[in-house]
Formats: sequence, structure tokens, C-alpha cells
Amino acid sequence: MAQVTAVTPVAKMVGSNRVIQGKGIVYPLGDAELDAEEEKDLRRSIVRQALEALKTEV
Amino acid sequence: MKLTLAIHEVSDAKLGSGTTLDGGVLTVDADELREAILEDRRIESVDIEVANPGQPCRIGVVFDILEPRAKEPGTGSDFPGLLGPMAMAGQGTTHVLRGTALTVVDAQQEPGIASKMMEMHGEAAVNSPYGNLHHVVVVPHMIPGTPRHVELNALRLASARATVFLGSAGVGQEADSTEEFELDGPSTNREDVPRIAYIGQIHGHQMVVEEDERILYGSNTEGMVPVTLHPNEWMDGAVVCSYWVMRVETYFYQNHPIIRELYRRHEVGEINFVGTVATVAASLEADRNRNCLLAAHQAKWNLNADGVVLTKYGGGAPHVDMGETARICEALGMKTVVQVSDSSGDRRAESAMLFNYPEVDAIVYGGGGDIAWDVEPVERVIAGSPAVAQALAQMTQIPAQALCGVTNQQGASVVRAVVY
Repeated sequence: MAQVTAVTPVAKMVGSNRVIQGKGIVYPLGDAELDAEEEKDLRRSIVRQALEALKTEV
Repeated sequence: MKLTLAIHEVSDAKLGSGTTLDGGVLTVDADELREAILEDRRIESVDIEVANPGQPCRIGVVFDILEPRAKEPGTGSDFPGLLGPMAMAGQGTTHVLRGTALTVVDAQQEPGIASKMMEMHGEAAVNSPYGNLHHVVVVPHMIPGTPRHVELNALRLASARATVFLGSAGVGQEADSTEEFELDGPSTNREDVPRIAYIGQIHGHQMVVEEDERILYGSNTEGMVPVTLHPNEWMDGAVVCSYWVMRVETYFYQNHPIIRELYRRHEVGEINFVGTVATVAASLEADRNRNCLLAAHQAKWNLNADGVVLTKYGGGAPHVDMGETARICEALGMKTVVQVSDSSGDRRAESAMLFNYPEVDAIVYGGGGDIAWDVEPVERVIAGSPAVAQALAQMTQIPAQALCGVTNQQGASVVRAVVY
């Protein structure tokens, strides 16, 4: 399992071993400051990171 | 810096002709108060009622509760940056109508999990620190079509205006007692007792602030880094609640239980109260790391604290930020005590904790998040719309989360969670 979260201290506290930094609590996979295309790039990069993490043995 | 509170004890409140304070009886002239609130042209009309303790009455949805107060003319600004001109809060004399509350109803808010109410009689009322107060309730109605953030801004301004209007009834009257709050600041030298600071959150940014929201001296705290405040500033109008009023009301900034207790212990020579830091919980990781680090380091290097008391604002994410700040404080050699709220749905202490740092082991566990009281329907409801009034009137159970003050992040809860 890989966990995307904006509050990484909690993920670490409960023992998640694949923690992916999300953007913000109100939008872990987005960013209201960005336009739609940039936001899509951001989302793609976070999801890719999560998929990479899933492939990694821990 | 010295703040004098001129305390006027109020034993009864009623509507009447002319706004006066006479022999402990507050008479509120609804027309005069209405006129003061309608100075704001965004507000079309205002309902004004009085709700006294022990009488069957429900109030909702509550926007905020404040203590009626007004500065003695010439000694400072009322809610500087929000209502009055910018000035340092916490100096001069402030008149206080003790025993009363100004309660503002948000007419656009539906009853629900995030909404708050007051019950004025019975067991539920006994369990709220607001249950024994005489409430002057104002229900502003906006001009139709007013955008939500403008409505909220108008409610905030109306709350300050009405509070000062009522508090002014004490100006020119002899006070029943006075309370003085004076600290010289971090330079105070008392070598034999611990130096104690307070770090309090004033908003949690997972709830996005409006551009025209007013929290700290009129600022919306967006982009804010932790700032040292004199304890008096908290209690004298520098800080009001954000629109996200989860387990906080401005009343307990004005009567901040933790700041008052630290003052009391300072005065008896038990501690050296060296000051406070106001901070915010973050939505973004980078902001969290920055705020937690800077808040702790301000307490260490600006206030030279040996120990720190910490509180949060709101719910879970601020809880994490508070825990992280406490962890850094401990790493810097400062002892900490944190206040957490009872938010354990399954009634297990473990469920209430979002952090588990062995060094952060002094934890005050306040409030009663998952209790509820059975109540009878009431006839009298003060609400913003007939639909809300009907919903409140017919309630047969009041969950603690819906009742103002049962769980209070500022330390005012009269209910305490106990593990047994």
C-alpha cells in the first residue's frame, strides 16, 4: 500500500511504510492555485510517485 | 503593559426602553442596538432577543459568542484592526458586563454536524460554560443575493459592534470590582521559578480563509508565521475566532482560561509567565514545518521559556501541528503540556491521539465529544429561519459536538474525559 497524504506525521505515526507527500489537506492530489493543465501535471507526478513506491520493496 | 478590567456584575437582562445598566440589570433597547448594527448597509434587518438561563429556549445556528465589553474612552481601541483603528490591544481599561453574552446567529447556516447551538435550560445547559449567562441574541439578515464571504464579514463586524454597544452600558458606571493584568514581559527576572510560555493556535488552514476574514488585528492569517503576543492582547480584542468555529468562541479569548491561570500562578510566585506565541495550523506540509519550528523557537529564543503550554484550534490536522510543535519544544529542552479534545468516536483514549511522542507525555484531555443529552422539545427558539427554528424546536437529543463550549480548545470545558 502507498498512502498519499498532506499530513505525513500521522501516516508515519500509524506505521505506513510508503508515504507520498500530497499537496494540501484541502486538495491532496491537486492545487487550487494552479490552472487545469498544471494541476493535471501535479496530479500525474504524485500518482506516478505512488506507483513507483508500490513497486519498491520495503 | 497593563490591562484593567472594570467588572460590572449582571444578574438579569431584558429588552426595554433605553440601554442601561442599573443595579445589575442590563436593559437593552432593541431599536438602539439595531441601529448600531444596521450601520452596516449590507445588513437588511436584525432580530434581537434576550435568552436568560434556566428558561426553556434554544438558539442556533450560532456564529459566535462574545462577552459584552467596551474600552473606557481614551484608553484604547475596541477590536483594533477589525472594528476600531489599529492600536495595541491589552492596555488601558475595558468595561466588562460579566454574566452576559452577545450571541450572534448565522441565518444562512443549516443545523448539522458543523453547526452549533445553545440550550438554555436543563442538563445540557449545565454542561456548557455558556449555559449560565444572560444571552443577548442578534440575528442579522443580509440583503438578498449577498455573497457568502460578504455575509460572513458582515456577521463578524456586527458581532464586534454589538459587543461594544452592549459593553458601553458599563462606561461611566462604577465597577463592582476590577481585575488587573500586568506583565513586564520576557525580561522579568525570577530565577527560582520556571519560565512558562503559551503557544496557541488561532486558526487551522485546512479550512480555507476568506480574503476578507478577520482573525488577528483584522488580518485573515493567510501566510502568517508565528508571532509573539503579550498575554493581554488575546484578552482584549486582538484575536477573534475564524469563521470555522469548531470548539472555540471569542468569549474565551476574552476570558482565556489558560492565560488567566498562568497569570494567577505568576502572581502567587509559582511560575514566571514570560509571554505567548500565536500560531496557525497548516494545510501544506511546508507551512506546517515552518510554523511548528518557528513557534517553538520563538518560545525558546525570544521568550527563553523553560516550559510551554500548547492548545490547538479546531480538529485533527491542528492536533498534529500542536503535537509536532510540542515535540520540537521538548527537543529544545522545554517541557510541554498539550491540551487535546475528546474526539474518540469509539471511546478509547488511543483513538483521540494523532501523535505519539514519548517525550510529549503531559496531556490534558478535555471535553466530551461523544456524549449526548436527551431533551424535550421547546416552544421558544431563536433562529435565523423558520426551518431552522422548527428543526431545533423538535430536537430530542443534543450531541455534545453541537452544543457550544462542551468541548473547548481554549480550556474552558466544564466536562472532562477520564480513562478508567
